[in-house]
Amino acid sequence: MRLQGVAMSEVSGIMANQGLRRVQMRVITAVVVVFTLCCSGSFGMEDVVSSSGPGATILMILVLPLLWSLPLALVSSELTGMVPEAGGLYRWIRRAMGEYWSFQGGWWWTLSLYVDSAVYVALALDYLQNHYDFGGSERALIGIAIVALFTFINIRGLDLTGWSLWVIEIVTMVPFVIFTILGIAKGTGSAIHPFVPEGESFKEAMQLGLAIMLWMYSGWESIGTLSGEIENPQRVIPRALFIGLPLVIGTYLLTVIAGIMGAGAGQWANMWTGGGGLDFVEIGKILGGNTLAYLMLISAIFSNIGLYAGYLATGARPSFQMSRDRLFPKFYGLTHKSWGTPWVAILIMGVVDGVLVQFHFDTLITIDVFLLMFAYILIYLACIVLRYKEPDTERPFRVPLPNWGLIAMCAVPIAIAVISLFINGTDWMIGGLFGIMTGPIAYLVFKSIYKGTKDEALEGAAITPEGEHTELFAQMEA
Amino acid sequence: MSPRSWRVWGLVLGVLAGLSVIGFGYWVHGVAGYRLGSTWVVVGFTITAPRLLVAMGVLMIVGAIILYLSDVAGGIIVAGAVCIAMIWCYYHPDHRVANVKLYAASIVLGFLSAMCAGLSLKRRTDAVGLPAAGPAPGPAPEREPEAAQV
Repeated sequence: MRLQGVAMSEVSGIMANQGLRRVQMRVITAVVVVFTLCCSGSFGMEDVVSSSGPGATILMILVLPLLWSLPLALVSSELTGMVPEAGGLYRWIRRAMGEYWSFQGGWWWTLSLYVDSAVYVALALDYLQNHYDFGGSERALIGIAIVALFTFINIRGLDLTGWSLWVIEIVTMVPFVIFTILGIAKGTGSAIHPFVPEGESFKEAMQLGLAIMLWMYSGWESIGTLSGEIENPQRVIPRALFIGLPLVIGTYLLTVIAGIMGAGAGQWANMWTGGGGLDFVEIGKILGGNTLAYLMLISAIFSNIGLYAGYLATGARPSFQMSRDRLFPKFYGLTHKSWGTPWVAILIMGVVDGVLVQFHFDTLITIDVFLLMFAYILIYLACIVLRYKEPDTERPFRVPLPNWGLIAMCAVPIAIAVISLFINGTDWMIGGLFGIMTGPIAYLVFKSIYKGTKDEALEGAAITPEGEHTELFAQMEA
Repeated sequence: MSPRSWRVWGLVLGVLAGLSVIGFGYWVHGVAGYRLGSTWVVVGFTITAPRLLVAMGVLMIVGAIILYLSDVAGGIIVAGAVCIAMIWCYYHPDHRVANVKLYAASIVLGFLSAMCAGLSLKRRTDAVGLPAAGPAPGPAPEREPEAAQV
């Protein structure tokens, strides 16, 4: 529906994204953002190979995206086009299921990202510390410097963030290209044999490997949180997701094949990260000597820094939008007058990360996966509910399935998400449930303080179903 | 549903959560082999002893009753008690799996009770008509009116 030359989705965008400056992001840059958020190199895959076996790993790399990543990419594309607003998933869920569940989804996702982003800096520091052997105070200073640099870049705007991710991904991927060519050319091991480790059933072999793989193939919803700051996100984001998906699959497939072969016959069982095992850096040493090992080390550091930069950008947006909807402290909703970015939300996330990177917090890492799975379930449900609630609303991209087909498609990743809640051990579950329980408590606290915003005052409400402007729209114009 | 209906549901679910965790506490005390809890003084007394579960169950029931009168206070008490009892489960690593299985009902019921409190609060709160307005989109001095391209 168009009214006075303005599409409904554009009007809603104007309303929901006040104060934010939009950048004209090219599709290729958006692809780099998606690639960073969902892949950024293959570090971590070593653990999947040793726990699940070479054949099962390759099978998961090929099959899991169809069952897990593609549905999320499709659903995110449809929802981004329909609700192209800052905060992404938070606003999608709100449109479909109302304020309470959107707060839960936004809270769980944000909580998860606060921890998660700090983990990437900690991992980069681990790589640096293992190689250069510096002390705790140097580690703290370097960590704070990395966090401060990328917090500034993010506050400066998505344009600079996009450029920085370009540089980071080039530095990350060039060593991987050399690694892959050498691994396949010089490697001796079989990339698919044995299928699972000897003496283990398929189910046993899948457990840890599947949990890591789900993590490696997550993140497709994240770029949607930047919709409020990208020109024409309805066009750019779906394209970036569909170019990014095969790129991520190809990266994992080729680098893991090169890694298994490069490690040598039968050495796949010794592939793991965290010291003492054959990780990509050590395999690089086998394939290309110290030079390639050094390049792979730099790649590992930049890969984690890239993930941090990407998740700092996306992780701050839902809390910004929740503040705008009067469900979070008011200062979170401030935007920078010149740069048009949610600078307070980004700065607070940076400060929290600056503190968290000083600690080793293995348990917290596992909690965030749990929180993310619950948020994913809400995203899938939101897409289904909106198909029934707003069947005629303009959708620049629509998942090419009828409603029953969409339900069937979403049922698979929802089932995988539910199963994944039970396959990681009880510590993980208790920590995750604890995180989940903070959602209802936070809602009660913030809602009672800030009161929230009426659903009618949000996106789409500027135009009546008959196509007339509402009083709200007049107020907005004034 | 009206706010009152949500609060009634919150009350019922919260009381069931409380009864469930009290049952769990007595089961632990009577059957499982760690009734005295840890020996370290403060944590042992407050966190690791099975009596904590019973206390949290009572707290959940009290919270549920309060929830009927005040959704915010009651919901926070019920959900907070669920969290504290979860810490109890975590502090018994040898029995974590069994503990979580037995405690699962309380977690789900407590979560649903707090959810009812939240929905009651949403229904009865006069939300503000407009989203909090930010400042007008700021001019990027050198680049206006064109958007930055990246």
